[in-house]
Amino acid sequence: MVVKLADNILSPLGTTTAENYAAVKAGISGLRRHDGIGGVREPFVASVIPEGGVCQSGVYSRFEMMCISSARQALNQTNIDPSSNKVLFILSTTKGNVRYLGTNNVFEEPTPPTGKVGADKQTCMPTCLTADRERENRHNEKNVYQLFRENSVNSDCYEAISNNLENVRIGCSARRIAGYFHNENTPIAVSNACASGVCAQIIAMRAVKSGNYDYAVVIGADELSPFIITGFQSLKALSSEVCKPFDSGRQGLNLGEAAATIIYGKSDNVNLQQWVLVNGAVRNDANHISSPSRTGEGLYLALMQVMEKAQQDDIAFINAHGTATLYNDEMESVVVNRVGMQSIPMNSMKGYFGHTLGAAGVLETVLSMCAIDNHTILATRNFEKIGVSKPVNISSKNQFTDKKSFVKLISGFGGCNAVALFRKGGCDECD
Amino acid sequence: MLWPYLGKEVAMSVIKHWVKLTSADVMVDGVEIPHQKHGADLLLELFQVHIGDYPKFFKMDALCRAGFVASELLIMNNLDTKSMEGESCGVILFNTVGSLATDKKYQTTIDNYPSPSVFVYTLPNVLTGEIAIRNHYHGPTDFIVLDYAEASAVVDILTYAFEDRKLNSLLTGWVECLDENTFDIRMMIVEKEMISKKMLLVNEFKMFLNK
Repeated sequence: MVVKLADNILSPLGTTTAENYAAVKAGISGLRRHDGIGGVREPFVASVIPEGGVCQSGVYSRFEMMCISSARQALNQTNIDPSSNKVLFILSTTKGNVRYLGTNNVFEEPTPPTGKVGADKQTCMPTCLTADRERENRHNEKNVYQLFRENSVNSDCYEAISNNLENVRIGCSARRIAGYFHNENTPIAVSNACASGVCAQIIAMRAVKSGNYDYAVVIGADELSPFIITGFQSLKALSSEVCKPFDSGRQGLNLGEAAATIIYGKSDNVNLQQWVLVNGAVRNDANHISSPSRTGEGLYLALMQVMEKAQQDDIAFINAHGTATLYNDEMESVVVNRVGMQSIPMNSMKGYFGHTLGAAGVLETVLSMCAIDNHTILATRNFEKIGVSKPVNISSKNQFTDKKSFVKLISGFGGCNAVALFRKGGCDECD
Repeated sequence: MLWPYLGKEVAMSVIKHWVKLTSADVMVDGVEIPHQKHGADLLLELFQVHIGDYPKFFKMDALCRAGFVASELLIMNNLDTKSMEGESCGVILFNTVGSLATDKKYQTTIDNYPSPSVFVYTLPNVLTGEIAIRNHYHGPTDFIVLDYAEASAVVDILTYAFEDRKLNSLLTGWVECLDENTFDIRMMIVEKEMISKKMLLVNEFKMFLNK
């Protein structure tokens, strides 16, 4: 079975999973109103990591340092050697370093820190500035230009890519992040819009099951930039107040930034305290590129597939995507009813963190695991009065549960939907 | 099927259906598709000659236009693929630049009038959605960005996807686009049973990328 070995959440609410969980349980939110910051004219409500919240590096971008800090904290909880060829890094992000687009900002090729990474408990790693020529050369050999040349791919397009080695490419960020941990496997960057965080965990589960890797480090992260904020403003998707998932007064979503990490490994003897990623599925709506299908076809098919062998009675709650846009929340209520799961408590974490994009699927999974560890179904912050057409059991305050499973739902642009089922302790249908 | 590769003909035993579409070159299953134009005009020409009557095409960004036209040429030229639909069909695409061409275009609109119609295409997996919509594919769709074109990493990811027992066939491939005139699309159909021939698939995919 594929089990969770460690995790971390880095958000405005804290730099550890425990800090984040404690804040959420106490009802604290990272959402604030921001006026005219970062080159965005219109005011907006968002959950932003304050200055100094991400340690700085001369060579890694802020986004990359968010990922590195989160992954380091998770790795520090384990004895895993992240440089091993049996460790796979998977990055879930929507826009990575897009902040640097158009700035002609070409980063230095980073030099990973010397010594064993992950062995010390410091949050920041100033040693990443230490020179290590040999290492750097090896990394440079792996750049796109040389590899395409070596593979003699012959076309104008590849020629143009070779001449445009831009650090805004998320595959490049993924390599730099894995490189920080001296890991040389090709990292996988999942770019499935907002659904990426759950899709990435499903890939991780299968990569570990296949035996190709002993461990998969899944990092979900996005930082806010004018690019993302103005984009969502232009789509009129943002709420001018704090977002209200599933509420009758909901007006749209709030954005947030965070990084979250889950490390998966294999276990033949799952103990009662261990979290198992039981099953996951990805399905497409095949309906519209930027809005969900009315019938929620993709999410329905994914949820049906995941629940095929599972017992509804075992499920403590459904952690919805719950972005607080009119269409998303309505669609989720339709799907939960189509599958007949409407009496199961359902919650959304967006009122605490905003929509953290590529981080959301990972962050909300980690938080849901903590909640069950703490026998709690978390409240949906800012929810008051039901505002979707189908009956759903929205958890409006923290409540007790002794159940051991939850289902995570997520959907995004491109019509992509992903669902995963998690259970604490072993289970019969887990393989 | 025989492909010219490094000056000699090499037997391709696994990949049967494929398309190569670059700014100047169009080929389906080894057969050259006649055309006159290049770049963005080539996509328009192929759309008008072979597809037509699909107004969504005109809303698409450069990556989606190139990827969409390639997927159409691939699917319409094969009896095997024409009838595919539903949960058993998925789309998994790869590249190194994500949606960079449209990201750059959107960036230029931010200071004046941020364009929502450009912004929606700043996610590369919108292309997997466009192909799913057109063909009624409800199976898994993924867009994966790698630092460089590595065939074995691609085949590993396809192998993981087929762990989904409902999935029978994947439209997959490498889809680069730098601007509306500069693109390189290599798509193919991979069936579930091909996955057992992993080494062959890796080798043929490598040749396919270098074709």
